[in-house]
Amino acid sequence: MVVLTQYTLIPLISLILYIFILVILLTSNKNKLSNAFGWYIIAMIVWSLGSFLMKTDIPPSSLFWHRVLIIGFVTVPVLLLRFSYMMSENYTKKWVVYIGYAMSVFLLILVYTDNFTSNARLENGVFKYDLEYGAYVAAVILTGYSVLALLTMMNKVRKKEMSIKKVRLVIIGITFVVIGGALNLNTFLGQYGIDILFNTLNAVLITYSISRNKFLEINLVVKRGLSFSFYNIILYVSYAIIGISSYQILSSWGVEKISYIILYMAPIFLLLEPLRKIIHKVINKLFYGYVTDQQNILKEFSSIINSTISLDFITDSLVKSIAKGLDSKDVTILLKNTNKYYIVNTTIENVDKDIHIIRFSHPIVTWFNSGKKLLLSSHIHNDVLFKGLWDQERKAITALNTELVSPIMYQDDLLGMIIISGRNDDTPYIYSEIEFLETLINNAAAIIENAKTIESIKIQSITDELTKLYNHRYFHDTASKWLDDETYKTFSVAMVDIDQFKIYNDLYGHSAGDTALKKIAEIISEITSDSDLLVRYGGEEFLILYPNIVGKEALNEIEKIRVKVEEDFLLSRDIKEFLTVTVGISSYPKDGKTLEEIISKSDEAMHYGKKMGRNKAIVYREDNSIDRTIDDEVNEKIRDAHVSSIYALAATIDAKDHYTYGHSSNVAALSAAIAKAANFEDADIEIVRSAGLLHDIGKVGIPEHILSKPGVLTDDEMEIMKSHVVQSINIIKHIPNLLETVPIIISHHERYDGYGYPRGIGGEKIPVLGRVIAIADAFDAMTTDRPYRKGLSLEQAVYELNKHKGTQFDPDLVDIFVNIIDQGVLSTPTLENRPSF
Amino acid sequence: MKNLREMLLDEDYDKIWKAYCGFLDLTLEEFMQIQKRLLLEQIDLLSKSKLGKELLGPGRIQTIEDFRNKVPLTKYEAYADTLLNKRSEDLPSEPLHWVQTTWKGGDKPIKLAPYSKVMVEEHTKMFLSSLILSTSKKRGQFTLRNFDKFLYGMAPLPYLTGFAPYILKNEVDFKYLPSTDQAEKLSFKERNLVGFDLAVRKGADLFFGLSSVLVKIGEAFESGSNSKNKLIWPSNPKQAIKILKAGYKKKIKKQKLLPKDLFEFKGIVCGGTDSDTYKSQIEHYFGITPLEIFGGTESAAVATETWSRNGLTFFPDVNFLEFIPEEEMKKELENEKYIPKTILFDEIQPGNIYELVITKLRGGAFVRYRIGDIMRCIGLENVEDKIALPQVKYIDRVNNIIDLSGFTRITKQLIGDSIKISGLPVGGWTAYKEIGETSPYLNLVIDGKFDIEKEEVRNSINNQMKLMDSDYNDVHAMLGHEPLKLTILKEGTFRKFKELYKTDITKINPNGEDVQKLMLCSDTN
Repeated sequence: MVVLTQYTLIPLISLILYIFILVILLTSNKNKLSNAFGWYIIAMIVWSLGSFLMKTDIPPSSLFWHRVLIIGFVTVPVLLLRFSYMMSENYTKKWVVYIGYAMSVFLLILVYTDNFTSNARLENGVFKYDLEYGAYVAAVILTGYSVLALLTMMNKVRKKEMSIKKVRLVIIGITFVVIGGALNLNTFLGQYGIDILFNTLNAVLITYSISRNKFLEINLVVKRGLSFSFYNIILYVSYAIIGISSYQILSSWGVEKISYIILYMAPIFLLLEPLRKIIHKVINKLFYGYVTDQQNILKEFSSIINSTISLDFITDSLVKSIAKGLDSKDVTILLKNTNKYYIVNTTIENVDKDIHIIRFSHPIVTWFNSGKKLLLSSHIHNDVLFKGLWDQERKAITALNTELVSPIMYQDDLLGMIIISGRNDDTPYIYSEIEFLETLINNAAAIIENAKTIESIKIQSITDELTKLYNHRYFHDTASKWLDDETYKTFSVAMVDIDQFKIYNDLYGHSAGDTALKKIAEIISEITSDSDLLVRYGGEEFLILYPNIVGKEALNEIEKIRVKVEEDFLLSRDIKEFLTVTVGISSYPKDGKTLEEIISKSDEAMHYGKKMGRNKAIVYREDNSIDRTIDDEVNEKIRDAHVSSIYALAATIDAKDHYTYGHSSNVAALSAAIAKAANFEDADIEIVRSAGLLHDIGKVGIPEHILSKPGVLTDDEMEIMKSHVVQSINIIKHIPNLLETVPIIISHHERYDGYGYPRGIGGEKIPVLGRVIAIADAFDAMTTDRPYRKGLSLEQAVYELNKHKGTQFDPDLVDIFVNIIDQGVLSTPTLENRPSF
Repeated sequence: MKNLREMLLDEDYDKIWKAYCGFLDLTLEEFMQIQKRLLLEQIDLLSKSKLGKELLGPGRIQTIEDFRNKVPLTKYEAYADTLLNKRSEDLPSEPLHWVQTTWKGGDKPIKLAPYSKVMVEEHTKMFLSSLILSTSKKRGQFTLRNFDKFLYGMAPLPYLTGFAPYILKNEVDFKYLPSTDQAEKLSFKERNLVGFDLAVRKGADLFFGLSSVLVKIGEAFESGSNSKNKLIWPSNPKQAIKILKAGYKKKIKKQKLLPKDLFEFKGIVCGGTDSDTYKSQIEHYFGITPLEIFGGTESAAVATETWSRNGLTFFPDVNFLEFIPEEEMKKELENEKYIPKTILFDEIQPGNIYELVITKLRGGAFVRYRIGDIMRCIGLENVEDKIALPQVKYIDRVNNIIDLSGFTRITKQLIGDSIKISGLPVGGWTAYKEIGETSPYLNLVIDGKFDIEKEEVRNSINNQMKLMDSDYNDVHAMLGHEPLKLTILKEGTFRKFKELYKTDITKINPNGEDVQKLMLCSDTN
């Protein structure tokens, strides 16, 4: 019968503990190291099993179990060395382990030939034995191996390849085992099984190291079931010990009657509940040490977030609660705005919040949006989804010390995410902590969403919807405050006005105009700093307030914006873009003491820039009056020279071919005549006349063989030919004085029914002067002689115009034009090279 | 983050497969997402550098469409000034290494390509993917391990393949045959010889080199020409048994010895343009089919074969891939000024031929760069290996260069100059590559009247070519085979061709039809 005595109890506890460790190893994620450690634990189990059973009368015999003990005893040091070599990646010394195996076999032979111990027997529950020479041989060998294993491990710690924190308890435990084993050489001490007491201690230390210090780096997620089992075993053993010991004590006192026994034991049973509570607490502390603390943190956090609507305060509390509850080094919260996730709160110092952003296309966002819950750093390194990470994003992940990322989900929307670093003690997170994190975030999500909404309403009221810059009202409030509080000793105001924006809008429509406004606002935001105040002041006007800089410095800053707009629009490969900006700059307090004064000065400077030919940045000066300077005159002459050269070029193109000679001036004259008859303003008549002269200027870029090809053009050639329209724009957009002609020229091949080119727009969408020039152009072309046909007569041409009225041409304008012809007004503009009428 | 060495120690094979070969699980859509996302990063990096700004042109490029419409296709000339002068400050990212290659047909003798730290890391990873795949027989399974003996038969530093042993050192422990220290002191040929001697003694697990070199070694074994009858001391019992068995086979059974009698490679990775041609021979000699990796100095690793060794799969995150379809190539051939249009990876179609255009990702310098390689799409997926990505086969270099076994690239200039210097009265000439039974040839067709024997004419030109191009000389030295085949046509044949067809025949790789026409001209001359 198994009698639990002080001699059998300790080996039993040791056995249970080692079995428990083995179960942990088998149920956690295995690696080579944990496998090697597993073998060591198995040897320890054999040792404890032998030690326990040899002290009982369980068959076959005490001697048999004693030998089982020795099998464990002699294999432990070798397996320990194997483990330590594996831990230190010392693969070249495998032979030492192999020799160890051979020696273990040799020692076992000694055991079974009674040359190790002899005369092993159980006397009154005490196990006794005599030592033979084999035991001394074994002592030398086994101590040697154990010490070597310990030294190898300590060496790894010394070389800083492993943290002392992680292994110190294991090293202490193993040292105990070595000492305990050596003490067996003394048969007096040996009979009390001190070795097994030390083994038990070792088991406790290992269990603790695995669960708290993540020894072996096995990502231990102690499942609740496992910890419950452990709890139940301990409970059972404790109850059994109490019950059996009490019974034995009572028996030794001579209490034999059942009724008495029950009576005497009643108070003992009363002790069981407090004992259960203690055990429960200890087990919980062991595996879920933080749980109670975490519950408190949760309560505290809930009360905080329910008492505020400040987003900053909420996120700050969340960061602190997580850091405290998980004992994390760093926590960072990112929240969603219109185009990215940005850092709202972090415990990391000096983080560049502008660089460390997460775009919507970021693989982390894809990961969470696909329904996955938690992201570990190992996923980021190994999962193929993260192959698309940008280098900068990788750096951000590193900079934020990312160990795990948890999503903040609210109603299936990824509201934000929380990036958590490793723990202060460098141990991995356990399952219950992740549960805690999720609970905390779930509690926070709705509150965050709410606070965000309130904040976004606040922001909306002070920003311009389209450009996301501040609006007029906010500007006035803030700038006035600057002046009242004397926030800055000095600052500059830049009035940025987009040149020719009306033409752009007319030409490409308001939606394109809005896109351009947004793009320019983006450029301004990009090039300015956080301390600058950016405002959409009016339709196409922006204001920038630069604190603490004036004059040249401010000019340098604004020049960057002007140049960037020029590069992105006027000089871009997209030839349809022609926008530029003109900027006027004034400063406080030099140019004025009130806001109105300063703004009016910058406005003045801006208008001066416009007069100087646009695409300029001008600092306000008392003397940059509107009066013309010599410079201006020179500039104007240069511009006039440009214009003349363009006209000359247009004429040259016509003259290349005697058939088209005079075409441009004819179109100019005809267009002007139509415009006049349609009662357009004088300015418009002049613009359409210029447009007529220039409308084919893009043909300068069309190869000669296509331009003068006698037959029908192929599809490819036709495409090239059609490109002359956009090429015309590309030439003209660089001449400020001619910009007004752009909408007309770009429309001269559009058709009223929308089947024209290049834009394919129809009806009223075609600028009216464009519709005028289309008629004039077609009419002149029809009446021109060609190598393969003679030009149409006036009547034929009129017939054609009427025929295509409403499809190709604006019907009203055709009527006006036909009317001119009918009235014989056509003779007024003298047409060149048109012998047919 | 654990490296391969540590993961191997932990026997974390699933994780290794995921990290290195996970891209084989991508769908085409996911592949394109990675491509496009990384291109946007690259555009951003380019727009901040001087070279990038020059290549992208004025204005902001924000979308992939913009990029493809506005940025021109490039060749090395566009980079020569910046790269050959190593102007690091003008590049999108700081180079860690400058990798060199020869620039055949270029203004300067060499080309240089910058590799940033991230690019080196990525390239290492791709190379390891290929190595792992070469030891794999099915998805998720591979036998590559730490301390594998690695017979490394590639070029030395500063060539791209020369970097591998150095960059791999941080990732995994291989035993190189010969060791890198020893290899540095040896020539290319010596290294291969010493390497194989060591491999015979120690055994070898992995090989990376040119397919042609492997075939040459196989041939030498079979013919017995490499046996110097010296005693070989094996350095481990396993190899001792192999040597004994081989000795028995050769001496007692009097059978021919093959390399597979002495080596048991886990994996062979081959580069070089004629890899496909040599595959069956390598299998015959070494008992294992080589795995082809495709890449180059400017592009780094581009694609790799998988365990079925049937079709290359592209790496998603090294280069942004564009393809010039065959009809566009033809248009360009007809009109030099024509700008060919490209299509993307998700648009290529089985059976069609494409020229590859790459934009180096992760801060590389090359933008819409024509590396000059032609490939054929062989399917939209690899059914056998269950890979849902389009598969390609490498065909050859673009037509104006003749590549021989990956050793050298023969240009119009080299042949033209050699003929000129030889002083022979050659009227006209054209040259093209022919695939012989076991190896590729260069067929040089000339016309003229010669007083000397045909063989002498051939030798005269051949010697000049060897003198002028040391790589061409290596083909003889290394492979021991004469790649130059000479065809002499009747005097005036080329002139007649021009009279008849109003154009000269293309000097390098004329199309088959033109060659036939030329032969007809000779017959009727």
